[in-house]
Amino acid sequence: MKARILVIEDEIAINDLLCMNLEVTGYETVSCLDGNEASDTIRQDHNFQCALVDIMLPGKDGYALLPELKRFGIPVIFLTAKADLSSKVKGLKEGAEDYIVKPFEMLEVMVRLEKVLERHGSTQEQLQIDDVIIDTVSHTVTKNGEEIYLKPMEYNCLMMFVKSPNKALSREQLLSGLWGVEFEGETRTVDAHVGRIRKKLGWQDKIKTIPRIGYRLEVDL
Amino acid sequence: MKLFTKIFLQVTCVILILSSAIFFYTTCRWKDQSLQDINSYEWNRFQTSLSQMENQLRIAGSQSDASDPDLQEKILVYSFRHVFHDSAALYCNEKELYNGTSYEFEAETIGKLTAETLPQKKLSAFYDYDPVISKTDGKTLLLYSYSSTEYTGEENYQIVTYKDITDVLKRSQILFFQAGALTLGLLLFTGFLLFFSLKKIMAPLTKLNEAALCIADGNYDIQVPQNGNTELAQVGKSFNQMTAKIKEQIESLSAVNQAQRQLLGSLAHELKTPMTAIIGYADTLLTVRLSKERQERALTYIGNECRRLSRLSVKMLELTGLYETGESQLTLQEVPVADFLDEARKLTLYRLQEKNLHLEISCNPENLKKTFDKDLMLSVVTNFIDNAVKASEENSRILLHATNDRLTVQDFGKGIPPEDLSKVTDAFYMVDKSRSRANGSVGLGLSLCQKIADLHGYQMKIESTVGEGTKVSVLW
Repeated sequence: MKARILVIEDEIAINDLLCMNLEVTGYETVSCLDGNEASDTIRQDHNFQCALVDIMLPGKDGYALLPELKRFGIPVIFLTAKADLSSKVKGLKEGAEDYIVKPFEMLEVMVRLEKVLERHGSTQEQLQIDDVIIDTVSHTVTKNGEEIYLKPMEYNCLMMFVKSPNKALSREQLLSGLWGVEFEGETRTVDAHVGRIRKKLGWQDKIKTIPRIGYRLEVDL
Repeated sequence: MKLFTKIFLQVTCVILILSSAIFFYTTCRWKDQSLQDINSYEWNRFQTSLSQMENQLRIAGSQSDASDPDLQEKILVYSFRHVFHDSAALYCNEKELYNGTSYEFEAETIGKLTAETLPQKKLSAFYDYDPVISKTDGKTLLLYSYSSTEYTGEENYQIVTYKDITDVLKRSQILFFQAGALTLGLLLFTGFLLFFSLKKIMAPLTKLNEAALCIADGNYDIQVPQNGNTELAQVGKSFNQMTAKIKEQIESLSAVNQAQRQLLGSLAHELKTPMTAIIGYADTLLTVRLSKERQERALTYIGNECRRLSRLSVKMLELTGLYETGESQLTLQEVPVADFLDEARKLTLYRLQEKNLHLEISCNPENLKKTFDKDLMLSVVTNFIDNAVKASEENSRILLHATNDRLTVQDFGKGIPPEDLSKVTDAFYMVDKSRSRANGSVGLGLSLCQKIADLHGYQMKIESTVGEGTKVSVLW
């Protein structure tokens, strides 16, 4: 089941940007362009796992929408240009799960969204990509019912790809995601790991090398 | 307080020196003078007595036998007593013949005294302390002596008389102390007076100092006393004027600063959204596998947002340009208002036709002429018309009306909610954000108009009723 995300943002360009990226990564999105529209939407349909909400909206603003969303148990991430401390504190104190200041990077939004979903138990325990099934509880990977043994680092690397499918990850991103920012390893190490994952899962076609950037797991969702 | 101590000490010292000098001088003079008076009086009396005695001696000498020394002596004593009574002593050949006084005189000393004192005829006061008497009760006497040797040659006698001046000296001493005490008292009194008057004079200075410190701390509301027409009051007046000027300038500076900071803040805020979109789409295009259709959409967004940024930068340049332009840089010229309105109509014709709006122009009186910067005012009017077009429904009408005291643009569109009315001239403020953005506006139009009106010294007035329309006027 795909997680459903409500995107409330009056700036159509940003709204579409969020929807585009979320859909590509495997979420289902519903977009609203103003506060009143959003209010109506959640009253009729409140099966959302998370909402990305702008604070300054025409009609009802983000702060006003927050209690309505919380009533239906929808966790809220504020996405706003208001960078001052008091706005942040107000947003978080009133019950937002997270607060992201514009201009933001899509990857950051993705990761924070994922963390919120994890906290609310909305992540799937089993992920399936074609014939490969990944059990995120027991950390096991099976292909065609046959268990494939992956080293911890290889498993983490695989998870990074699976969590952002169809999105290119740079070698630096992989490196810092797997070993931490302080690790000053060679980007070659990443290549070696990716190579092993490809070989073990038979994903030579699925994990594509993107010139000058890194790798991308291409899945048809 | 340093100046205070300095002045106080200096003045007190001068007074002290002067008064004590006067005091010493006068008391000494007084003593000398009185002694001199006494002296000359006594001396005269002594001389008179002496001549009387000489006369007597002469008369007695002619009648008696001169060879009998005893008789001579007796005559001497007799005539001496006749003249001097008991106020003098008589010696003959260093032997006391008669002494009517209560003192003893030493004959030798007297001889010396006579020798010494007689040549100086003009006798100033001289004192002699008789050793014997001074021991007993310390009196001061003036001694006068006479030796007959030089006059007669036969009879050698000396007369010594005295004048008790103890009282005089005592009185002069008492006077000395009295005058000293008086001077001291006077000094204390003047010092006291000086202290307070100085303190009073210095008080404004102290206040001035406090005020200056306050101003240094940034408190410009302080005032120093400026009453009266003393120099210090004038300084106070100038000081207050200075403070007021500084306050005014600081306020205007901070107002300009505030306005610019606000502008900058709103600008930064206004830049964030397009930036986020552009960066986001560029990243997405680079890293995400998108369908052809989505790729095109992303590129369109990037293009649109970039165009918005460029519009924004043009407007911002205009606005900051206006902020820097003073009144002096306006190119003022006399403009026939009817022609001016027609020009505005031509400029907005295209926008008006888009919504099929009718612009009704009227000018009363028809040959009205006004002096202003034509280009800037043209931009104001086109901005007004632009806003009116945005607010109006299709097939509606817009009134452009000029009279001697105002220029008005009126539309019959949706109007501005009262709570937004005061904010519409703020930079980047938009009543309906998403709609305005879609129309391609950046929210700087009215802010520009306000600035231009301010530069001309005109007032801008916006009246609006929701649902009925808006009326924007420039009072020129």
